[in-house]
Amino acid sequence: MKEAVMMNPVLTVNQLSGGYSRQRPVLRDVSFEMDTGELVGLVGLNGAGKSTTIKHILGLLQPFSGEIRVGGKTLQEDMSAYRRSIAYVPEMPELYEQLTLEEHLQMTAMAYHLDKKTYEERSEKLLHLFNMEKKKHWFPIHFSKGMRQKVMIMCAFLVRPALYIVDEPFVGLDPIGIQSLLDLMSEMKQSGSSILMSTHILTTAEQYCDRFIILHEGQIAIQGTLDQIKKRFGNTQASLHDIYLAVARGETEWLN
Amino acid sequence: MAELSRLWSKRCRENMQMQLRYWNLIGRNSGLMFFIYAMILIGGFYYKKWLDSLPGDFPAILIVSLLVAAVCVHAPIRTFIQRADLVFLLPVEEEMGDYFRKSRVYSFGIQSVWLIGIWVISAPLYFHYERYSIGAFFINTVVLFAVKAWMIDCSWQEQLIRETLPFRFLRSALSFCLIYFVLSRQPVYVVLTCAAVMFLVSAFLYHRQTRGSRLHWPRLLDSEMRQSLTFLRFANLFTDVPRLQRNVRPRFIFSRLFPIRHFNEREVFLQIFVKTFLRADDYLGMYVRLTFIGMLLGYLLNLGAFSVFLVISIVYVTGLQLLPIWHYPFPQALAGLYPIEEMLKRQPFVRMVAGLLIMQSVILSAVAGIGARSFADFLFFLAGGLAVSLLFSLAYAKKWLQQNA
Repeated sequence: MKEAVMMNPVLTVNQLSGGYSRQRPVLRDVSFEMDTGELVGLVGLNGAGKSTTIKHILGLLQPFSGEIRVGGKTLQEDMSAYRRSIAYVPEMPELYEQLTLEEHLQMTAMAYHLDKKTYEERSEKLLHLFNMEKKKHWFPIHFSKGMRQKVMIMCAFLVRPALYIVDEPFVGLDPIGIQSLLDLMSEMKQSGSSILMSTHILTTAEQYCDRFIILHEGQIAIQGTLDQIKKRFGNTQASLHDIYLAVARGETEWLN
Repeated sequence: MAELSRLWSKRCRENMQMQLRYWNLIGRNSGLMFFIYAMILIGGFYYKKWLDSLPGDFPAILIVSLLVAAVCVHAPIRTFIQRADLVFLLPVEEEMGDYFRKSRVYSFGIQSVWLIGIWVISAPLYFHYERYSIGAFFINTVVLFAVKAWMIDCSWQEQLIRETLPFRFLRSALSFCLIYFVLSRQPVYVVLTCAAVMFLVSAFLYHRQTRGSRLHWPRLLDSEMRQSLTFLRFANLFTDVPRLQRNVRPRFIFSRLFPIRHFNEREVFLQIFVKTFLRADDYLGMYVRLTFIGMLLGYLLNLGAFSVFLVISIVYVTGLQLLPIWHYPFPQALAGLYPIEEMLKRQPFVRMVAGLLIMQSVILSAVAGIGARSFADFLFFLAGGLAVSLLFSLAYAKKWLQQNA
């Protein structure tokens, strides 16, 4: 953390307000930063604004005010560089019904300009890791939710960008799948990538995330490392689950 | 990027093949083809008669201008974008210039076919009031194409703009003005001024606004979905289109007229069918539209006793369009497993179709009767309409249900 202050943060979200319509903004004044090699957990109830935050970072929604920088650049300044530094695993797997698993991987390689050799090395490893080598020529549209999720994860991790955005990745994955994903994320972290992960599975998040951002009704209720949050909460024995519930129930006197 | 161009061509080809497949199925529906031929013949005959009966001060040029301008202004762009593109193609947005250029050219081509169709149909009305010459026809056609091309470009620029309503209003108004000026043979300088304004709007409003901004992907996807659904819905009227994405509207006011009154097993499917009709896939809209068109034609055309054919054909077409409600998917875990006999599913369906068609027959005959100013004609129309309603629901639909169970 101390050295990272010197470099450009991987992701800067500065006073972001946004949503689908100006009349009813979902996010209000959201600010946070992510440094190299960090795994940050984005936590909040359904409708708290997690997915909206993610859509803004991806540039699928335009902020009403505030700005977002990836690697120091905004989307307007350099769209291709911005988009290419992000890989995204959506909450619901979005796949082409007319493409096979392998073709999905190739599509990704094409979109991110990977060369053939890198593609082959990485895809082989990923297919092996998720135990999908035999299903290379299958159509993912016939897969179960968990398997389709694996396809999305493999596509994202094929890219090795500076920033991963992973939306609710554990739902529907089998235990081995979850473990493989966690291992992959640790590996990517070590090689310097940052990961923003939205999730409801707090016990897992507690173990793996370096920092947390707790969103409540479109605003950041609290952010920091688990220890910082516990200290602020006033109970070092409390789990993330307890704190999260307290925020969600509106018991927020301790925040002020 | 060459891969992206290839991707576009592949998607375009796949879309073409899919549409051809459905056209093939639709073409096999011989009753429908016969009906279309009959409508063209009868329509052509009455079109001519109608033209001869028009008064000299009929605002034909204004009406034709409005019609073709409307066809020009509606210029959605067929991009063949898919939901997964929002994940997979996002990083190459800047390299998709060629891809979207092809989309624009394609959209222009397809929409020009419609445009020329509408223009050819309305040309007799137009040249009934303007001196005919092949040159005039040709010039008007060229102007229409130019406006269409401009609309396609504007419509594309709007994909990069957040608030499009004022833009759409502006371009619609300008297009109408230009078309009206050309069709009503205003002096050349008026036409040129209008064209110059259009050019300035394009250069300084559209292209300046959109410089450096990025695509609004979710909206692009919505528009693409809507366009592909329009065709699939149409095809679904004749054959079963699998995995058609459905849309449902609440329609609380109408629905309140049909509350769940008692828990009788006879009520179960009647409820489901009625709510499907009211809320899903615009069946209600189709019913209202067809009835309204029938009323308008019945009252205005005033064909005397021949209006009975109008009533009959509207009732028949409405009936055909109601049949797909039977195929509307119910959640298997619920309706599919209800302990209810098959008969109790078919009966309410037939009853609902019969009820809707009878209601329509009464409305259409009443309006056509008023148009003809004759009570005897009203009774005649009503008899025709009721006969078709009952034949369609009790005989045809019943048999259709047995085949399609």
